[in-house]
Amino acid sequence: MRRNLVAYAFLSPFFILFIIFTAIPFFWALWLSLQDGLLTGPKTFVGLRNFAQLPRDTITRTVLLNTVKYVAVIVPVAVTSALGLAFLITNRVVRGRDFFRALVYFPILAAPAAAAQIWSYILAPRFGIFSYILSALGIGDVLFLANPQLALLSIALIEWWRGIGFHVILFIASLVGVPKELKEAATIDGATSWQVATKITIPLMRPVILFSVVMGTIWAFQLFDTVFVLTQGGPMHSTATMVWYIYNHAFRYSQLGLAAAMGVVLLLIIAPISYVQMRVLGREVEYA
Amino acid sequence: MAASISRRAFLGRMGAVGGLTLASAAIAACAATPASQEPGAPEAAATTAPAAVAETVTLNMWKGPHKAAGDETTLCAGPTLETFMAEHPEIKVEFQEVPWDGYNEKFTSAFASGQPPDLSYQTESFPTFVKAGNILPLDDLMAQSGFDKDYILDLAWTCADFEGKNYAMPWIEGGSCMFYNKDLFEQAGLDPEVPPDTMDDFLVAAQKITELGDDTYGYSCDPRGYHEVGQWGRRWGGDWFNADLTECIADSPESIAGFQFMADLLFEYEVSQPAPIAGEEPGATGYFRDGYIGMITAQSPTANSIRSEKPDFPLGSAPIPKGPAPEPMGRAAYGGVGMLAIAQASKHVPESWTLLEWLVTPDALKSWVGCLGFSTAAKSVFVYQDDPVLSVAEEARQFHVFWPSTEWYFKFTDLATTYTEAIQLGELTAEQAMKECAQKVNDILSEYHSS
Repeated sequence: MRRNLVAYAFLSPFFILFIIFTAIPFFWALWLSLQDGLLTGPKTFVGLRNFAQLPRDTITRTVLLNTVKYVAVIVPVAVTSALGLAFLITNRVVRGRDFFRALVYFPILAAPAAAAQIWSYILAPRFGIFSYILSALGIGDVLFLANPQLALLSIALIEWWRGIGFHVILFIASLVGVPKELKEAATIDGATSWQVATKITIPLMRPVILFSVVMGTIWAFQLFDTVFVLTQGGPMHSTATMVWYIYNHAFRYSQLGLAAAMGVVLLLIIAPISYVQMRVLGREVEYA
Repeated sequence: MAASISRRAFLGRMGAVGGLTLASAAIAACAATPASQEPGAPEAAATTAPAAVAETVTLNMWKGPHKAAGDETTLCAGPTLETFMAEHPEIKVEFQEVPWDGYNEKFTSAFASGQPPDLSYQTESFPTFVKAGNILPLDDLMAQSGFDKDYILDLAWTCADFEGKNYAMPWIEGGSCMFYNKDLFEQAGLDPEVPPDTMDDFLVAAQKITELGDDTYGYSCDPRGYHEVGQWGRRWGGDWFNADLTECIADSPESIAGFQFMADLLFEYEVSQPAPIAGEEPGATGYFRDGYIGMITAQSPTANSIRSEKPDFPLGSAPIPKGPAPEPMGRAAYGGVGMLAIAQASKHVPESWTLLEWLVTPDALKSWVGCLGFSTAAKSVFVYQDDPVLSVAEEARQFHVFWPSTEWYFKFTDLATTYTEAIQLGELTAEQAMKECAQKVNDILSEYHSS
């Protein structure tokens, strides 16, 4: 009994926080999605009206498409480039591994809003560092954030810079844990470095890659800070994302029910995608 | 009996603990010391303490800053409120600058927790709080104190009223006018003391300044700056809405003509700085300050910002050049009203009203609003008579167009900004943009009216 109580005592802070900050807000959001009203005022039950209203809003369709486009670009690019960087950093011929590890991880430590503000200066036409370099190369002004065709890619670039460190550190830890014997045996059997990486190392890293892909997807669907600071969804809604639009409905338009309904829709999108990712990437790897 | 705890029993207990925690938090929140009470002063002590102590009331006042963080408190609010507290020793005011980022969120959570500031500065988001019952109607207080509503600009009341009741006191009048660079005027062979009076003059001046070359443009405007961009249609005789705000009429031929002129400045005459560049750092005002732009339209505090950053800047100001529409709409400029409101949950309504009423007296207006570079909402209070730049901006109040309070304001401005930006980026023609915009705004209106 005493042993159990101690265990539960250690677990209880998590459960209390989980109930207060996850379970209650989750069910409250579900309840709100069926209401019409303001955050602090009276609310009216409207059933599924908020959900029915979403497809009629053309901006909802735009933000959904933007979000999907963004996820489709950022997740594969971030994961594959992080994998490449992890291999590079852990390669025996590379010196100063700790330095590079720190270098890729540092952006995560920067506050998202501050990082976004710094990027606004880096990407600024005429006076930004990128513009300076492009001008020196004979390329004129590239309007990274003001061109509707480029803005979302520019946001993806910033988010890649911010998030890559997480994946790289994860992959490095996983790479170090791959048994050397397997790689050495394969090398003795005549496998090339590429074959060792693709046939042995990467398959053994699958659980970590799966975690990285699932978390990367969830975070990508939640893109907000950089858009909020840099573009406010513009130009012409080209960088407007689901979470940015949810925020606007909740705090600018005072349509809390609609915001909650969008949140529920986002959950319904993320959940099956994560499930499929887990089914596809989560298969056990066995070496007889 | 073996002492063990099952998983289900544990979860049940944890649920009870969680419930108790929440209940305790709720009770604590309800019983918490009111925001406006002296911190640390026990309630019992307040009732039994000597009269001089018991009668001192502390009011909380929140406002979004109109200067660099902290400067408004030090330079404007502090000295003004010191004067008030000297005149009213029974009232202590604790002023707090609330950053504009998250302004609505902070108020929302303050109202939700039942501990809002007694007195607050409100802008366009104010109908949301009124609708939620967070703001105290002022009609009775005004009637009791005999406040003369005629003291305030008539149109400013349209911003402070909601559904037939008055909920706020117009205080700051933040409107736009034209600022120009006298040196660039001189270099372009224009008289720096004679700013353009009509849109034809404006175009000529913009062309001559643009001809100076070296990335110099006659005019610039932030493509997402709805306050400035949104006025072009009005200067040609159009408007965004009909008189009772039930229909968006931005697709009228007059309105389209106004926005077409804005597009022509960019693409036909090429005298306006390309929108994608004006919209990025350092922005239209920054390029103007750095000497690349001849003319901009901006709110009056811009003058103080520019002069503090570049004290020798050859700054001129003028009303907006007149478009084809008759005055005052021919010179239509953005007008915004910053208001003071009392929270419904305030425990000190009479004291809050005393402060509010005092803050609109001429001396208080000059001390605080004048310090910010804004005009005042009082008809007869002019702050900048000795300032050649701001006095012109202040006189331009007659051309300012105010927004009546509506709960769909932000939804509309976000759409309007998107479409006016599309014109400036060359993605849509003025006609396409305004027709599409009007249709979508009307959809929003019907959505609000139906709910």
